[in-house]
Amino acid sequence: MTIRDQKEFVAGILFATIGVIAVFQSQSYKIGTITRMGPGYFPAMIGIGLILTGTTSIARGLWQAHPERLDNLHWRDMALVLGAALLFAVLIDRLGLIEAIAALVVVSCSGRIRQRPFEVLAIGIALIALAVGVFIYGLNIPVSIY
Amino acid sequence: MIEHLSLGFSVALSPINLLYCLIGATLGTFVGILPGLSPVTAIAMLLPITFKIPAISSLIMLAGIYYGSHHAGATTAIMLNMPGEPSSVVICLDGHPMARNGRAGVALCTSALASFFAGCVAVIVVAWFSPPLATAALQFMAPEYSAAIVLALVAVSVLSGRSLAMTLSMALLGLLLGTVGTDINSGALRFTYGFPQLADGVEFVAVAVGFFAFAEIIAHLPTAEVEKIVDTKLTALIPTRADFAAAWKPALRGTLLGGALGILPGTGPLLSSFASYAMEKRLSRTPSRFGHGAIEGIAGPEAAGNAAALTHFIPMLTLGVPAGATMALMLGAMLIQGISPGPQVMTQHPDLFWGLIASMWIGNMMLLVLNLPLVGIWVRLLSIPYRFLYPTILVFCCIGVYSVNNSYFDVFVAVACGGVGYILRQLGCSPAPLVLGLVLGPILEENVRRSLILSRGDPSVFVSRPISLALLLIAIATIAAFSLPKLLQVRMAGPGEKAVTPE
Repeated sequence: MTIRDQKEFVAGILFATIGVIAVFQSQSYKIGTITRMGPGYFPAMIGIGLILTGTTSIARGLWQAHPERLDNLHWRDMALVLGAALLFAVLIDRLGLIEAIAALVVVSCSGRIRQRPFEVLAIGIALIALAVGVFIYGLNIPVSIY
Repeated sequence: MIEHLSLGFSVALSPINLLYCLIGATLGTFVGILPGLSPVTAIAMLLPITFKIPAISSLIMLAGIYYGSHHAGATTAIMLNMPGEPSSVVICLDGHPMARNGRAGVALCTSALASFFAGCVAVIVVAWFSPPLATAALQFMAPEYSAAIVLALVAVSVLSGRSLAMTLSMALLGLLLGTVGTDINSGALRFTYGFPQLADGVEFVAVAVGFFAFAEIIAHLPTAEVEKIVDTKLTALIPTRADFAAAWKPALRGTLLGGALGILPGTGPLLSSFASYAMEKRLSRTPSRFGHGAIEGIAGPEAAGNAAALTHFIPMLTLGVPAGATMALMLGAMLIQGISPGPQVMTQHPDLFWGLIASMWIGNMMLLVLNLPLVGIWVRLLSIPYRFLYPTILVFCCIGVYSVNNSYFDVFVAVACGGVGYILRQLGCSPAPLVLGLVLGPILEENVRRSLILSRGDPSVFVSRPISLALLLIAIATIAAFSLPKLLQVRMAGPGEKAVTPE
């Protein structure tokens, strides 16, 4: 059996799995009755909904008229962008705004678009100046500058 | 209405609000012209900043970004055959051929004037329709609210992607995310997995930034190296008498069509501009000219898009039920400012309500000035390479998300949402229903629970009340209509490509 619409098939599996997890997790909270719903009632309902829509997607993925192949995931770009933001989150409380921005710019710029070192430096300095001006002086955000 | 509007103008004309209106309109123009930056991304990025300024100013600014970007999206469509916004995809069809025929200036001018005219009319529509709608909505009890929210989620899901099962899944996923945190009735912690930072729920701004900014950047990076070449020259701006004669009727029709369609949840500028183009082509005596630089193909859709962008606010302002992803973000901005959205906003915060409406008119004036004489500068902006742009977006997003609660944990949440959002995007899932679900989830849960307590556990309460029944029937009919494969194909046969999402 071939999968015709790979995208919808994979998405369906993903959603149905999340639905199953939600239903199971909800069991650990009080479900309650329809008159007095416990904290688990609503999430369990959503979970059941996700299982239904997810299985529909799986079925559609198998029998869909228009074949659709999975797109490539650009892991490198994903790692760079998310890694840069992660580094920012780690650094901002430990060191300060300037270091965090510098790290963010350097990591995110080492991506596939060919950056010249001079440009990265210029972007970094400009963004630090802009951020300090807007967030520290303009909006008074309580964060250490460096 | 006059006294309300004069109150609105007195608010909107205060120097500080004029300034924020100008900032919003300018940023919106900027966003509309730069292809890698959508209005949702920009609003998600600037959402955190708005907490530090007064509620009315922040709403004026965010609204300015929204309609400003729709105004300006046409500029790149005409000059470069590259839509700045999804809603300007249609403008490419005739706008770019006009520019190649050496009539770029006329095309730009027509689109700006049509937009402005539509904006003026739509503001009056908003001012006219909102009070009676809000009065009617005051009768809404918990069951009606639940039904209205379900309808909004269904409508946005139906129009967000190729598969209804997938978009509904996204909406449900948003609802599920909305349950994270402390349960309002029992105080029990749900899905926090030991993180105390999640006790107040998932930070909405972090999710919005993750799905709309981070995921967008990752998806845009592989194709961003393509050079943008301006192959058209700017020429005389003023349309001839003949142009004017050909354009005014389509602009009027587009305004009416867009104004009406914009009120419906899920539609917005994208659908309205497509609908207007189809209508003009059908009404034209010479449909063969369409696609080769017909001025009607610019005036109609552009007016429809802008009118819809403004009337799109009506459900959010009068019911507290946003009609699309951008409106969900605006609703989030209101919530964080401590304003509980709903029909009472108009009576409890008349300055905010009418000030926002008046600012839309002022903003449209500003856009006319910004767009027409300064169009040369904006076109030059196109040469800003994406490699300068995306670090800037990233920096603003990260500081913004951090600054909401001074919490690095929220940045982690945004990173996680960015990763998940990118993967879902590559699978063809639009993030719009998810964000709507996240915003509306807690409101839906509260209203469903309240309805069932009032009815002593009888679920027929949702179908025994006429308004609630009607709303649910519309939702079911919408699902049924769009589940039929034939209709689905008609919908996808539009001139755009499959990647366009509403907003």
